[in-house]
Amino acid sequence: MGGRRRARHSLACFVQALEGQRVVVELRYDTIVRGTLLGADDQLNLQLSEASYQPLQGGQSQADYIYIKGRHVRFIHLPGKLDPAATVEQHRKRVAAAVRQHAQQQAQAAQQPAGRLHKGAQLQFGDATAGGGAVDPAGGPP
Amino acid sequence: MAQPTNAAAASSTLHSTPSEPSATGDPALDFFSPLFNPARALAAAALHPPVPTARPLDNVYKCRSMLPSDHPDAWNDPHRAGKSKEAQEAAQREKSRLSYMHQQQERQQRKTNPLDQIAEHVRAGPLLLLKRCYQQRSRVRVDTRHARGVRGSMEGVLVAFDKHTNLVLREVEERYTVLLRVQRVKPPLPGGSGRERVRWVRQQEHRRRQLRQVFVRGDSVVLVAAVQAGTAVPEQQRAGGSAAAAPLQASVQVGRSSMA
Repeated sequence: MGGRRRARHSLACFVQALEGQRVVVELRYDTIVRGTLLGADDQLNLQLSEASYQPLQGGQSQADYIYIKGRHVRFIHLPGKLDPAATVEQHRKRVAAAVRQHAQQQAQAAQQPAGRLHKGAQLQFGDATAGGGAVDPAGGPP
Repeated sequence: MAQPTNAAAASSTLHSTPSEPSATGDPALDFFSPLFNPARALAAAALHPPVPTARPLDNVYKCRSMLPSDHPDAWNDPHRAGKSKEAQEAAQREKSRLSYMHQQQERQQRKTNPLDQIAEHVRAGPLLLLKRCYQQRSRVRVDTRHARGVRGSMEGVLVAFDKHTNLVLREVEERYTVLLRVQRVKPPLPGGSGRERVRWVRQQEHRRRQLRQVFVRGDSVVLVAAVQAGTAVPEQQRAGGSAAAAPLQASVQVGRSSMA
């Protein structure tokens, strides 16, 4: 999600580094939401997938996707073995690697012979190898 | 390349006798004439500039550095200032010093932990206490709030913090309250046809739990106190909390807090 630069100087970068992990979020009104964190932004707005929603009094319900406004988060419960510093470092390296790879792909795409949209051109959307799934924007030099 | 057609420049010390007089003595093709016409000079065949090794420049604006220093339009390029040896050495030393500092900074950034970097941004003020607790990995007590009052208290080791008082705590013991909506049934009034009266009321329930590691969002924090096992008087610091928390039992502690 966005707000990576703004998140740099606050612990929002730590929450962003938890991408892909199963977390338990406790909301301000004592609801528990469990799910896989898809992403977070600098204001701690969260996106969770395969989530279950359990209010304080009442039954549990499931959802494929839940978006939580950061304002309503009280706690994010974490596994005991997690080291916050290491997590943030690893996340930053992953992001840097993905950005570099994307830049390389862009450079390669730009170097291709004139007219990616020439007759018979095979366009590629998405990359089978990269974890980042960079998408080449259609449209090279006219 | 054409020299500036400025009359002052033409009469400056750049002046030298033209090596090749123009064919017809046409002032428009004379490099030193104020009536010099560059467009025609380019079109004219077999016309060479008087100084064949002159440095070509992109535009007239860049010729300013060639003007004598007493000229009103003259400009001394600070990067090329001083062809003298001392000036060049000084410039070289400055460049290497800046790049060394830059390298040092990079190295330092790479070594420090990202959480340390966040803590570094706190330089002054009450948050310094939080920074100290973080650096010493000390046990802290954090009071949390509902929307309408103090929720409870948790004690744990401070692993990370930031300016919003977002915290990461480890080995936490928490005592807190929840507000439950319960149904109260009143028996029917004696005498006559009475119905059971059913009301929903809010009831506070005390709970307690242990947590291995938890991230606390800053706006739920009412107060952070450093706790040392064994000492009687903990230092107190009030942190954050923009909305007013209802003055319940915690107000006594808040009143006694001393700002760092």
